[in-house]
Amino acid sequence: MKLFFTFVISLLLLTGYSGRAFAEEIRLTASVDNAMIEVGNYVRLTIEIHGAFDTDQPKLPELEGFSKQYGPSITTQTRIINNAVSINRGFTYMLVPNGIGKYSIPPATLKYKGKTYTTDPIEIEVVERKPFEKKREKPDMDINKKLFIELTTDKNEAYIYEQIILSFKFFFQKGLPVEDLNYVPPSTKSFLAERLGDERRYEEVREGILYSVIELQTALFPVVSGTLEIPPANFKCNIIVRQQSSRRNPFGESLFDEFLGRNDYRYPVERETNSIKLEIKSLPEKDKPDDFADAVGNFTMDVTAKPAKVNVGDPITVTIKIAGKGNIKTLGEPLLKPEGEDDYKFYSTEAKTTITDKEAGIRGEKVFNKVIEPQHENIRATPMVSFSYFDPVIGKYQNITHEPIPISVENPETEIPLRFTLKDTERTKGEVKILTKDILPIMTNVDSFNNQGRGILKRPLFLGFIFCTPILLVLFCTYLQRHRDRLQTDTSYARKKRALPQAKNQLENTKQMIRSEKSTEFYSMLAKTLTELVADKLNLPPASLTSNNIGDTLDRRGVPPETVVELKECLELCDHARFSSASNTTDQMESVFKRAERIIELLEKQL
Amino acid sequence: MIYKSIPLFLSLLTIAFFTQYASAGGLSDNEAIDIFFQANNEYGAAQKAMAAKEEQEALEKFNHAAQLYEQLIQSEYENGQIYYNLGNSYYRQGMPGKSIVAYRKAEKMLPRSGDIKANIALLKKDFGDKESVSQVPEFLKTLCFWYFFLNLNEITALTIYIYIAFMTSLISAVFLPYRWIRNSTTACAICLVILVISLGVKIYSEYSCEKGVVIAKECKIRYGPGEEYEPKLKIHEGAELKIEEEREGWYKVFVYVEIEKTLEEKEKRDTESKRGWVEKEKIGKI
Repeated sequence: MKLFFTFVISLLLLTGYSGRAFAEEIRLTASVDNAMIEVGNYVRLTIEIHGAFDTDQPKLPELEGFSKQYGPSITTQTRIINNAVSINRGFTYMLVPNGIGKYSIPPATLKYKGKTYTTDPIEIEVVERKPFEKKREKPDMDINKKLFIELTTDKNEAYIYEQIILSFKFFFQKGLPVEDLNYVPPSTKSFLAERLGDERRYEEVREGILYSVIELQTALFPVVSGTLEIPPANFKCNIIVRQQSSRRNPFGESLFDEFLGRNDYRYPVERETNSIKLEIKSLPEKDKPDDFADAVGNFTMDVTAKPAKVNVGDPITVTIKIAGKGNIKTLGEPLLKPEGEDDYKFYSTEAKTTITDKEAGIRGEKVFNKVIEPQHENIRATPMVSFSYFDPVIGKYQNITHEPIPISVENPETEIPLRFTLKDTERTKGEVKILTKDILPIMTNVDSFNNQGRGILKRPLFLGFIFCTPILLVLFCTYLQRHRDRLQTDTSYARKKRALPQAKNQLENTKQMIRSEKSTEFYSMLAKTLTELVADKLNLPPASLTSNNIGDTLDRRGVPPETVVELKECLELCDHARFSSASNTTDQMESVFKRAERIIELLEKQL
Repeated sequence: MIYKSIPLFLSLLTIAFFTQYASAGGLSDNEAIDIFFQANNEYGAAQKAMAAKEEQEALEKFNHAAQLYEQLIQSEYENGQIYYNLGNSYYRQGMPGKSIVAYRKAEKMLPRSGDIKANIALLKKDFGDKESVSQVPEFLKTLCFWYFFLNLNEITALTIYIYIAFMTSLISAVFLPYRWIRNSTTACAICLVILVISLGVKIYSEYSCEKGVVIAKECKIRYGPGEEYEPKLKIHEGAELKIEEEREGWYKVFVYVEIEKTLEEKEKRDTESKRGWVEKEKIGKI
């Protein structure tokens, strides 16, 4: 073991870690595994030396109320975190309490290179032994002492935009197996937030117990004033509890289970921190500089200007570097104060922010590049640069100014170069410069001048008319075309549709026969008209219908019996008049004609 | 009978369309042209006074010209030329924010005018805030040329004409079964679909999405609608923004300016950091 340790140290020395390792300050800590124990149980006391490995054994004090069971058991640990090496040597003793009561383990001491190091005393309470059954009911002891979380800020009162460091710490007893760490940070909606570096891991003794600590830090910049509350943070994790297998598999599978963690039981733990109230003060209005642009912290300024020699109208880049600690990302632009109002033409500024340090708060630099153009040759220096910020430590506004940087401005028009050769003349050729930039003239075209505000879309009635009419037209035309097509292709449909006009046409001819008193032709024509109408309506050959079977045919088609009887009577009357020798008067013919007219109307509706 | 009535019906439809188009409004065309002439003359006189270095007189005349243009607009007589000339008058009076408002309105009515675009570009060069509006790619402008070439009224009228042409060809296709009629019906249908989509997008961009311009020299975008809320951003005259909500004399806006990186992550910066509240009187609605 010692050989291995020597090898590791030698390796570290060779790889250059030694400087960091030995630069660490030596510390002596004492801790116990439990601050409250039962009579008959034992407590582990560990005295650790941090930062040195070649020390003597620490001197254990006289222990009142405890007997030393065995020890020390010596452990050595070397850790490399983020290129920083730390060395620990631990001396563990097992102590058994002599009786019930509160005892104190006095400080242990260590002498190393002429210096004496001591530990803090540890309070231990020894209580009565609980019955075994009660223990079974509540197997987890005081879990709150094994792990807990804290949410703190470095200050409770701050100015608006002042940096506040929010720390979340997760404490868990050293060696406690925890997994699946899940941290839900609190909402910081009234702040601008920036996480500070990676998580930090270290150890800390609290009430005599040694805890491993994981710390996450966030820099907060309040953007509103008043009493602000940071809501609680939530944290979840699982403690791995190893269960003893009640039955051991004779084939040794449980060994694999153990290796794969199948015997482990995950005990879920959820914690919530307290909320934090912060008093955020507004920045004082008194003595507030005009050029103050919300910079809060502590800053320095450096200004450079390039090139130092220019012609009138040529650009000069003024680089202003603001560096320091504070709200570096939200810093406003420093003010440039030229001597004369028309000395310079200013262009918009480009800014670039670089964060240089995130360990102990946000520290960085913001570089503003501003392009300025001198407007005449009498200018001798760049404008003075002024930057104001509020220092929250002293609670006052501070102003930094940078004196004007000397420059040389020449007017190219005053220089009259001597041109001796053609080559020189050619060299002066170039693109034509735009003398001034101005807006284009007004429009005066009256031909296209109308009221464009009267949009078509603002007339819903008109739009409705325009939209609906063509649709109705299309529907009507489609119906019309279909009707025409059917008349040509569907005989049944065509006969049905033409039946009434034909019947009316024939009736007209029949009427003339009344006037000419041609009774035989009249009755013959009337009977034919009625029979053809029924035949057309039912798409039957006219010859197939007689006054005998027409009634049955119409009955089958659902024509009311009154109409059928009427039709049959009319046809019989016609037949009788045609074949009898009795004379037929005009009145009789007109009566039969009217009857036939009524029957045609009824059949039109009912067929 | 029906074939004879169709051309008659279509003629009546066209007459109805033009009659409606000409009969709306309050101020007559002649009255409007008179005021427009008067305002243009005033502007010309102001221009001459400016050249003669008589600044006060020039300023007064520009102001008077602007008032005349405003009078036309208030009488519900709107034309792109009026807005463009009003923009020029405001610019000459040193009000570039109001000028941009007028130019943007003119641009809606005269989308093919290069003068309006040139003046907007010139004014924007002098503005303090760098804009972060994403430009429409050139290929898209070429592909959908009609959308950028025509104003809302023109696209609407074109859509109506294509609709009537489509319906006419549909009616013809019902009676005359020729292939070329069917092809022209399909072509009209495709054109109609494209135009209806373009019209929908145009209406959405002009009516549903309210835009504004900062007309005050500088204005602070605050976290809430009131002086009691802390300022979040400071933007300057001429900066264009989207108006999302109005509440008690305040607008909730989204600014199209580039802001430096804040302490929050990128995604949040793009949406939330550019959103805030601003006094209504400092914004000119487009």
